[in-house]
Amino acid sequence: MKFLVVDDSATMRRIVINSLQRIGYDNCEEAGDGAEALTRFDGSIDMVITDWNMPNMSGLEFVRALRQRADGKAVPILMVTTRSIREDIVQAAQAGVNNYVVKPFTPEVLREKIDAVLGAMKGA
Amino acid sequence: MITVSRRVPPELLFDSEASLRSAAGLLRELQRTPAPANAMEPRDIATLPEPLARAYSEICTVLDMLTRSRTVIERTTLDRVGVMNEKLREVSTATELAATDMLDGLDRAIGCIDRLDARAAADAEPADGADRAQLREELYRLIGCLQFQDITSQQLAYASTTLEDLEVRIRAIAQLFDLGLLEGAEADQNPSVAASDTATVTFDPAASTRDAEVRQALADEIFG
Repeated sequence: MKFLVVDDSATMRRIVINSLQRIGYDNCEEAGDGAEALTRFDGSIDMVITDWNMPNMSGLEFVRALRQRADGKAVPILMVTTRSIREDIVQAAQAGVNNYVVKPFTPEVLREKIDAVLGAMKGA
Repeated sequence: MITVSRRVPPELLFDSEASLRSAAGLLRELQRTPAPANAMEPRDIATLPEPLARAYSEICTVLDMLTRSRTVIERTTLDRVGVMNEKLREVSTATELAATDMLDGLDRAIGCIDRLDARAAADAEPADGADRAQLREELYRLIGCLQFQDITSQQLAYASTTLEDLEVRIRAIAQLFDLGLLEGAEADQNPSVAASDTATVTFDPAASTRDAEVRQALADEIFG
């Protein structure tokens, strides 16, 4: 399973990738913002994990843009962000995010949300 | 709350207040002076009564004090805000570098443990596998703890933006005292709005390391 990890913080990208490795996922690509993620995304990506606040193109703009693309309509998207007020979370859900992880997170929470998204995709 | 240097401004305020009181006294004195018969006729500056000339002089002194106050505000407050802003940026960079170094070290440590495990498996030694597993768990937990860098970085970015906004506002206030700059200030009547409109917000003003479970529960409730 291949992930695309999108975050403007290099440290945070490594933490997410490290957490993914810990729970058994070794195949990851990285992008520093939404615009770069749009160029890196292709049919080989099985799940996107994106931050919200990023320069050039935010995570929310990236999700909206990806959902407009034929190859990005169905890909599971997990948002991992510090933003945690109700309005923001609802906005993310409306934009097409499949699940939401609040920073700081533990690998267990990340695994739980990945499993939930994959389970929902299989059930659909 | 904006604070300025306490060394000079109180003196300036005291002097300004004293000058204004003096000017007010002179104006009261003028009011008590009976008006001349031809009071409605225009006069030139040379014919102004002596108390009015003294009032004019006092007003000039007050204006001079205000100009000096503006200079003090610019020197003590704006300089300090600028330095603080620079320091905040340094903190952000330093924590990013430190976190990267720590991640490198932790990765190497995990690699060592993996090699120990491989060697132990080859020698069929059942000895301290549980301890190693715990050590690995601790190292992974340390990596997770480094999320503080991303969060504090956003907090610092917020503080930095606040200081920049404060600087713009103080400059606008300082310009009010400089009559020569009033015309140029017209295009800058709402500096805070202009500044926030042009800046791309790349941080969460409410970013926090606290109560992650409570905030995650809200997200879970919304996403079902």
